[in-house]
Amino acid sequence: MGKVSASISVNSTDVLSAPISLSLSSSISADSGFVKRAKVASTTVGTNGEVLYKAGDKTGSAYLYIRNLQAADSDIVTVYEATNNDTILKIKGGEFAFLPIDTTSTFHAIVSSGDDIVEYGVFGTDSSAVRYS
Amino acid sequence: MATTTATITLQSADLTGDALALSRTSSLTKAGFTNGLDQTTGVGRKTTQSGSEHTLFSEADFKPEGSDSAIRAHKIYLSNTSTTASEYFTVTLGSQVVGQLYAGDWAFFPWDGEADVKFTPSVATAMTIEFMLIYEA
Repeated sequence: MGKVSASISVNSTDVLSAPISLSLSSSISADSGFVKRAKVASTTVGTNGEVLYKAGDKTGSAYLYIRNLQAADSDIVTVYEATNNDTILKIKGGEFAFLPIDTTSTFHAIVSSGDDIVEYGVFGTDSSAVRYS
Repeated sequence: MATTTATITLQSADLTGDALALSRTSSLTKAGFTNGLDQTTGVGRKTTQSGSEHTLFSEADFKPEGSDSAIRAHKIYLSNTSTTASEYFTVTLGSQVVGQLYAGDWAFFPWDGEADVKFTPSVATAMTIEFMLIYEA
């Protein structure tokens, strides 16, 4: 079993009258995972979204990292649960998210402008029951 | 204009044969603008004693007001402070389960303010979630 160290720091000197300096690390047990970049064509929730995660691919817990590689604020990456088409994230250009995902659900991504590039990865303990191809 | 930055680092020496070492920094700005997010709840903690669902951030409090229909680009930080490995919070947006945040783990993600952010502890004994919302009015 491997480990993935995930760290976050959030800093601001002026969003409050007192500085914010938050730093946290966690160690995630994982025997599988990847980071990839994909050019995404779909711009419509529910239609041919990039498959970020297939239900049942991981057991227990899994974590999604996703980053919008576009520079423009107006370029949005939308992540949604693929059965109900419920949006869970809208990520602006240049921003990222890291969060746990429900291992029993399937998550897809679309972009606001076709062929935008998205960087993403999923980490956790693999189940051999699910294939991506 | 406030400036807030978030940096994520993902590292692993043994997940694959090629070591994972990824670090990204983002300046947190308002939707459609380069202006920084300028409001925050600060870092807070909430301890629960029941396994029922709790609303952490209500969309009614953070959605656009009046005729302003623009989407929002709030940012949420969450951490499960438990040290018992089996304890987790189920994080839900509206009625959609997003995932399970296990002991010692954290999450950081944008929120458009269109659905309540809720969490459900896995046990009815004391569990503490740490949170911060950085947002725009």
